[in-house]
Amino acid sequence: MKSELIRAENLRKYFPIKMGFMKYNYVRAVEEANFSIRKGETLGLVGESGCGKTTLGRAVLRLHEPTSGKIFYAGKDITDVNMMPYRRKMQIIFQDPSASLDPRMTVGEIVGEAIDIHRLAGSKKERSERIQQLLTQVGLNSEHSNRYPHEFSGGQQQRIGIARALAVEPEFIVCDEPVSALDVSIQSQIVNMLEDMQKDLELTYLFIAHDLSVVRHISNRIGVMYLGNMVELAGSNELHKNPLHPYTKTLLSAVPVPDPKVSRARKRIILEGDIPSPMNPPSGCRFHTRCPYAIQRCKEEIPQWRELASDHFVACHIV
Amino acid sequence: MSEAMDNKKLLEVKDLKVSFFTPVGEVKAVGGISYELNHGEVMGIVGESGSGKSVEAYSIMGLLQSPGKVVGGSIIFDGEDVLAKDAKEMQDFRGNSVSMIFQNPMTCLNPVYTIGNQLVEAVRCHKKITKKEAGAKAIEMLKLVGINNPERRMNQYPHELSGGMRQRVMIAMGLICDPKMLIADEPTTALDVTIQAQIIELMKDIQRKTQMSIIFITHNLGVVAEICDRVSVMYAGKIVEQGDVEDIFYRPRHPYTLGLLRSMPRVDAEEYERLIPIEGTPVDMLNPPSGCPFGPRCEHCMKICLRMEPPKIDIGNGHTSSCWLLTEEAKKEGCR
Repeated sequence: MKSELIRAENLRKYFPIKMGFMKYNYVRAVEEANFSIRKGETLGLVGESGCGKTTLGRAVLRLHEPTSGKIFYAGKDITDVNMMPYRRKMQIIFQDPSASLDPRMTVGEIVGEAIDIHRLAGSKKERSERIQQLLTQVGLNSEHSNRYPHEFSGGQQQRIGIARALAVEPEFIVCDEPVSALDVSIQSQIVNMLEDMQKDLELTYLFIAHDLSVVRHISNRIGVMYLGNMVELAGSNELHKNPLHPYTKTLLSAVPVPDPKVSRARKRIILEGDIPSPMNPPSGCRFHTRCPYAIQRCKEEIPQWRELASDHFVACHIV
Repeated sequence: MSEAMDNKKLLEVKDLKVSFFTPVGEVKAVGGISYELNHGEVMGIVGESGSGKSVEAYSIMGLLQSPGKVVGGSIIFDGEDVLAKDAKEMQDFRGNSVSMIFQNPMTCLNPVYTIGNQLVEAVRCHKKITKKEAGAKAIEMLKLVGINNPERRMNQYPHELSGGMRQRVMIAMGLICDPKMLIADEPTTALDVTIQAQIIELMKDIQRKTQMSIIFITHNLGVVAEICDRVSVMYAGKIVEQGDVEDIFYRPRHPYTLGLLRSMPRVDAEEYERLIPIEGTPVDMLNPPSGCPFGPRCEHCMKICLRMEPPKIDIGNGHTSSCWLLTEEAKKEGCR
């Protein structure tokens, strides 16, 4: 087994909401997340909107300061340290490519900014060579460096975002829904590129998406989140063949399959109702209000995060 | 599909052309598409963003906004020419004959009126009935779309409902005047997968009960496989392939359809397979390529593809595909 690169221990992130004078309520975005990411692997994170997957991804990078818990990078505790040296090693690719690129900077400036901040280029010539090399690496032309983001299509903008993340030669990249905003035919181009980059540059990914098909395709292991809680974590194939948590089963059965015979023949689990508010989550297991198998115990007791089979974690009373 | 009305056409779109006259030039958003929809049939229109699938639906509904204009072709609905109708007739046509549900239910419901108010208004615009009757009808519709406690919901505002619930209200509003056809424009795209599954089940259920025709516009091939009887694949304002759902998924004859199917990862994949993407970028509709719009991205592109638009080839069983590869000319010309 490869050594671990990232470890999160009891990671928790609450956002305070002012309810009046000196009164606060909290959005419990992430609750007690425990997981590790091994060197060179892709950990996928799936869940519905509002389940805290993006918050968790950002908390790992300390773009959101965690409320409690610890984050380790290559064995070192980075929860309270100056992040500057680690920013070179940990990068992020955002969901909305046009919103994450400054419209008033040229592509060259966007990519070059990271190089300047971390003083990675000795001379101007070296800097511009590096920018050109990065742009070629992500499938753009080197003459694109003088253009502005709005001159590019969504897929190309995402490539610019990726070039910017690669500029500092990181080891770890959080991919926060990198293909959700793109068209189907472009999605596969970006997914393939991320896979190639991982091989060539020995990158480690935390891949966040709500599309289970994409996550299953790209990830070695997958974590499933529901309302701020990680409910199941297992190898990609294991999770697909042997899902344990009722929510994982539902999620898998809800994903439409582009195959008329298969999709009409299979039995899907339809959940009742909607996700409860993370400001006022249900007691006990957070899924019990929608879970078809819920028992009394689920309402009262928070299920333990336990390793049921080797490398297959789940938090549920009934499995 | 339906038993008795099997061969009856409900909607016939013939060579429909829609253009947007922008300051930088004419954008041919829909460049001559034709299809038919039978009673009780669910037709999927698939395409990427900018392929013209929504514009086409808007023109059936008469909702095209300036600078968009229908510049050619005809739309015949139940024997009537839709394009010849004036504004007042169109108002009557919308809601009573055809209704539409949209992608984002939050922007389509009025935030300052209650759900009940909006539903009642929708019925009373089209039918001469009392407020009380309309209210009863609204509650009945809310029940039909699976909203529990409909009496209470009638007095709630859109922001008090969740996304899935709002989409149910939109569907209720669309169905409240018993239209013959429903156009659903990406109705599940803004929703989470589990909610999407709920809405798809609901639409399938309602379709079975009412035998209504549905045009289902989406970019998600998985959703199409689930709900549609027939599929039209659009690319750059043209229907490139059309046929029964099984023909399209199992026997695609257009390289674009095949490319789309191959480029999608599947959640039920047995083992890892590298995706085969469609190379290149979507068409710039201001400067569309001459010949086949998909030509520049097509792996089988021949000389003729870049010169002339491919004809529509009938493969049988209502399966058509617009591709030079299927013609005799292609063999004569030789590849590349």
